[in-house]
Amino acid sequence: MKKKILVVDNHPVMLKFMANLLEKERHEVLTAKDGVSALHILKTYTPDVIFVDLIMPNINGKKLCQIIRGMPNLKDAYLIVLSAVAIEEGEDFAEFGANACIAKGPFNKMAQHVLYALDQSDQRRSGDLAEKTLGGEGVYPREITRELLSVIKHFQVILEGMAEGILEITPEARIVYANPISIALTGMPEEKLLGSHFIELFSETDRQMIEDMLKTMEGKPQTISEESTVNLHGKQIVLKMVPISRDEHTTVVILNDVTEKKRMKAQLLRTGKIEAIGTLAGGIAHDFNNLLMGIQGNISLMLLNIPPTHPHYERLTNIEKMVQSGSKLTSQLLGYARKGKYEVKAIDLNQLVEETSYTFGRTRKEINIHRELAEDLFPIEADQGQIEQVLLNLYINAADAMSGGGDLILKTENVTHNRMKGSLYDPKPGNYVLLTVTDTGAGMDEETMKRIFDPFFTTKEMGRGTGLGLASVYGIIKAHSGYIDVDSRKGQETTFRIYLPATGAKRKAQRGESEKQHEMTRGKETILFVDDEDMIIDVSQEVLKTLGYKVLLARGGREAVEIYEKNKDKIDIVILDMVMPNMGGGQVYDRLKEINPNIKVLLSSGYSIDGQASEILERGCNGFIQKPFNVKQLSESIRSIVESA
Amino acid sequence: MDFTKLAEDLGLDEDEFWELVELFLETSASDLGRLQSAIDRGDIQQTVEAVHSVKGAAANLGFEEIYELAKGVEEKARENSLDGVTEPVRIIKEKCDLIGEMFRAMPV
Repeated sequence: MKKKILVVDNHPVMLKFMANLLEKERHEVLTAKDGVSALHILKTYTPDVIFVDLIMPNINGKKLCQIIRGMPNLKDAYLIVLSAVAIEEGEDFAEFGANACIAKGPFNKMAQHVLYALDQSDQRRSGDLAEKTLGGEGVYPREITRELLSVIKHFQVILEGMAEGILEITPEARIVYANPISIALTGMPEEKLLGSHFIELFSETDRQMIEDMLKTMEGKPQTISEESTVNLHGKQIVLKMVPISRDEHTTVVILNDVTEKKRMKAQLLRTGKIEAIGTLAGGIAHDFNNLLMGIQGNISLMLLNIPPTHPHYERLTNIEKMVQSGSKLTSQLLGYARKGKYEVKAIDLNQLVEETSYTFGRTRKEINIHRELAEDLFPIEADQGQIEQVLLNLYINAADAMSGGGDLILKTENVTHNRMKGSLYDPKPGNYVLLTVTDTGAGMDEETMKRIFDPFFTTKEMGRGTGLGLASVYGIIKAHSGYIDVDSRKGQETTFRIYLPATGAKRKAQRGESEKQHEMTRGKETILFVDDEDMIIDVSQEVLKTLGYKVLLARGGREAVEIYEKNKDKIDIVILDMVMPNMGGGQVYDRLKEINPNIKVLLSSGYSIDGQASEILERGCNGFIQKPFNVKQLSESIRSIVESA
Repeated sequence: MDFTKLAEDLGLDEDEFWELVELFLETSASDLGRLQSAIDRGDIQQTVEAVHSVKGAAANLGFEEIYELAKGVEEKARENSLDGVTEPVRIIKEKCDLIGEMFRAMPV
């Protein structure tokens, strides 16, 4: 029966012999001198029988067999390996898809075996792989020592296990080897990849560069660096091309996927920027609070000395209100700068959402608020005031996006870190409470979305937005070890998602008691007031004296320690600024505590309570007051410390 | 060397045999050139590949002396050594040249 046959061997003598032999038997024969041309022929030619030499340069016989077996139209082709190595190595050629193996040797013997194998190919059942090597009877002694084989296998394991993609290409840029990673990177099956044109793998814009580089190699390795990556199958790739200066002049190409690395780098850069702005914002807020403190103190003093009927009384109370607004602004900045949580306790987010949204709804009648709050929501560990600020900022933001009215949908649910998959974050595993805030407003473009959490970025007209609302939301959520992201498209709804870590702690009485309106309480104790800012010292001294206290002053840490040492019996309480040059509040506190273990100290700062302040409090410090404080707040703080046992 | 007998042993008619010999000579000339330059620069891998090619074809055509010599060189090279391979390679060349002369002396 006439057969279509392909013979692949790199030796012309073998090809000629096989062609002669098979044509004499009236078969149709094509020959190929290597794997690449064989694959090329197989694109249009479907042989019944294929003879494959095992040892060939570039694509070797074993690989070629595997590829052929993977091609649907050739799965029934009868595959015969030509080699002596198979016998020598004890190679199980059936494993890579061959039906038979013929040992190379004198042509008369080979002729017999070839014809016998062809005969076998007629009789075999489909899929039946024979395991007999024909002609292996001692004709060919050791071809390859086992040692060398193990070296070759060793390198193969390394190549296949590498994290980089490795390709080998001919001078014509045809691919003759591809390790598993490079196959994955190109997204092409191996049988297509091998023999295909290397440069054509890349997008057209990159081809010229790669081609030029291959042309100008002159025996030296070439690299396409991370700064100018090429695009391969949607990935950003760094290439290194290493010429193999042997007779075949092939080139090994090392492919490194840097898509993820570049994305991380960009993200890191952005995070770094936000951190830097945060530090700056925190610093400004601190100085600003000190200024407000000065204004507040002066006003407090004036108000203490005039009756409510005085013509300036109303204006002064107005100024006091404005100072309070200013202070709120700085506390948002501090929130963004993540300068700490105030009081952290287990709270019920549902309750906060309900309360704040009802209050908010009353001020914005044109907005319909929908609540989809999960029952049995995990409690979260958070500062109630800060979370309220987050909620209000999100409501305001949503409402401003719906100037003509619309729907505001608030949803809470219990989730795990798995829900954040594919986001920018690498969340800590565990339970989270997810709050989604969706509005049916104008949406935003990508440019806006990128900058949405940047401080001082606002799309609102001059005078309406500070650009701090969402920045502080971001800061607060970060400070609570939470995550926030936003989804929006221009003209469509916008959704903010906030993930806050759930806590195992039981929910306590949820609402903090509202601020008690204490009357100014006078006293007659002696106070050591420590601050490095003259303006603060001046007004605070006046305020304290007006309240009836005797005041000692220190303008720095060392001075404070000296004065306390001399007057420790007289001094009832120390009001201590936390941030001072040379010797900071923490150090001063420790020194004072050495002098008198029972000392009473009220810590004050233009920063809100942060890690540093909390540490001092943990070491026994009696209280904390945030600047700017008014007379009432100050007198209340002092009394509660002095009167405590 | 009795080429008529050799051809007979291989089950080939003489025309076919000489055709294959001609191809062998061409390929081996290039293989041997490759082999010499590989040995000169101490390239083991290339030495193995070149001499392996000569060896295979020699075995096919029943040139046993060439086969044995080439096998010796290959085994040596596979043990990472090129010591003393120059002499066998020289003899292989001589043998090939001899076959070449006989080929050219053939009545056309």
